Amino acid sequence: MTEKANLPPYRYKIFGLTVASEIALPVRSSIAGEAIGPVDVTMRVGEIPGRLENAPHQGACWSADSVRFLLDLPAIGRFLAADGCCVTIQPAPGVAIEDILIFATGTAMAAILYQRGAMLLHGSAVTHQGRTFIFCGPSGVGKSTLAAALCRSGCGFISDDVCAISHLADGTPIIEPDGRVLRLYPDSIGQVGMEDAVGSRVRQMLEKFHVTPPEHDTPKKEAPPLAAIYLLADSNPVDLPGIVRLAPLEAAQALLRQSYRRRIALAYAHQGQPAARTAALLSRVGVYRLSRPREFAQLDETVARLRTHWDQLA
Amino acid sequence: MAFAPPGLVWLASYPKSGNTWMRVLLSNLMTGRDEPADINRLSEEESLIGRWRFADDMLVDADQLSWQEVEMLRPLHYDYVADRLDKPVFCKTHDRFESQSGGPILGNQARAALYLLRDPRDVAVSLIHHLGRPTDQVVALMIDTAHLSGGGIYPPYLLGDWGGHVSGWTGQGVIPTKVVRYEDIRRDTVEVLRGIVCFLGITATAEEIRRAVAHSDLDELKQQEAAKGFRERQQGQTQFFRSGRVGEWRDVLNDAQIRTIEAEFAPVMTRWGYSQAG
Repeated sequence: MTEKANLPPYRYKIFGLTVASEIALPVRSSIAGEAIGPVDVTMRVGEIPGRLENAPHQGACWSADSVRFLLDLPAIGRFLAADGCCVTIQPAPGVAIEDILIFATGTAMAAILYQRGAMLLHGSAVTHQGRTFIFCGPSGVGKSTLAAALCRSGCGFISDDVCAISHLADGTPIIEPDGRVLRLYPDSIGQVGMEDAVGSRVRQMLEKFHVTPPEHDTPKKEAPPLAAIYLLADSNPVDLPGIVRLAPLEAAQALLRQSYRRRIALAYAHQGQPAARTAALLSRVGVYRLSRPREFAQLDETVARLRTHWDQLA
Repeated sequence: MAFAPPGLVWLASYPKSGNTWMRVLLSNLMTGRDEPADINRLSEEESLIGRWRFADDMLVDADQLSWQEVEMLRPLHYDYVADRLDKPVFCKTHDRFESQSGGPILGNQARAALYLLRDPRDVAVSLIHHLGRPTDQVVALMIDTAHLSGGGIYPPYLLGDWGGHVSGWTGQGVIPTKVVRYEDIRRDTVEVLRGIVCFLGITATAEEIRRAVAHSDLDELKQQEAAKGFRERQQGQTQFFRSGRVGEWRDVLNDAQIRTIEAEFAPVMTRWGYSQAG
């Protein structure tokens, strides 16, 4: 076991895990080192091989075996997640480490969680009157913008991009916050009126910024019970704006498809048991397709539609 | 039933050059049903060049990357997928052939490509309806060598100008490519599809080709769109499938707009048989 004196100095609470990092991370839940008990995950800078030999799971720029996951992004950096507890980062030559931490807190941390048996959804989450709601969808579909608009309208903020599902002793599903703040483009920031909450850039070359949403209704500890999962989709001439509940089989397929970094989830399926976890989740929570126009001008209509739906769910 | 060899085939074109029509033709040919293929089941969301598939295969989101980084990773992605395909995959793209760094943006492991080409003056007319923008803006877009497209289900990509798009695809020797002119498909769809079937090594009978063409008739597509709508129709656009008339530009573009397009693209237009009005 690592000696306490050798642990990296920065401490964070991410997905319910205590992370000790050599580098300051762009997350919101920095915590005091002495008060938080044992460290679950370490994050360090170091040398990483280009490929895992004989890895049974592979992609164009990644490989995974039973205990290690390696992401190799040319001209960006390499990221190794091992044994459910150690993240190593190696920036490509000339790349500033601060500029690639998003891949360590995103994909590499996801691999750590899957190695520990977690269930992750690619979604943002908010709370409202004692319930939690998740909005799933691929990058660019508008998850963060919708979460920001809901926070502006009085909801509490839980997660920006990843939701780790866990269950209380009685089976009630809850989510562990990803520890991040919102990440928004300038047009979204203007639309939701959060210019005063803008922080650093997500990466130096991207016009996308960290934004800290208002704290009202944001739970201090664990999030309240999960009440619904929405799959965000653009409305079109065939799929008109609206909210439709998915049938059980379609909902199960949709949740697997919305797994955060789905191929890592499949690589560690022996740990996470995604089919059984999905069935357990669906026995408690409905999955809905939320089709809405992408245009900012109609964002308030989508918020109003959701609030009406929440009243009906109650 | 028609049979195609496994592997990746790009259906490449500048926008509004007949790509959707070609997808419908191939869908009808490969499914071989008694009734026409549903235009709303052309499976775009999981397209190989879409955002979802990029993140699913590469384990990073396109919006965490600069578009130059996306451009660098894309050929790695497609080559990895193409090398492992055990079934035929036809994938629509409006990408240029070369990335800004000069390499093939779509990799080099696709087994073939169709490049669909249309008179740029008729492309302009179709774009006016598709984008709902004034004609002068559309003409400016078509001659902009740095024009970025994408958004929605696609990551941002360099579309650039019409002439460079055509020259890049028709001048490359990396992916075996058949150039197909929209005007020729309109003139004799059966004959053009027969040539495509031969080029792609597809096994199909004359009857299967004839039926695919009948099921892809523009009137059939318009009828489906009128009855059920079309997912790919842009907001504000009244109708995706329009007349498809060759030479409509003569009734829509003014002299200055025609001159701008012809002056910009004269060599490429001449090379592909589009005579100039001026």
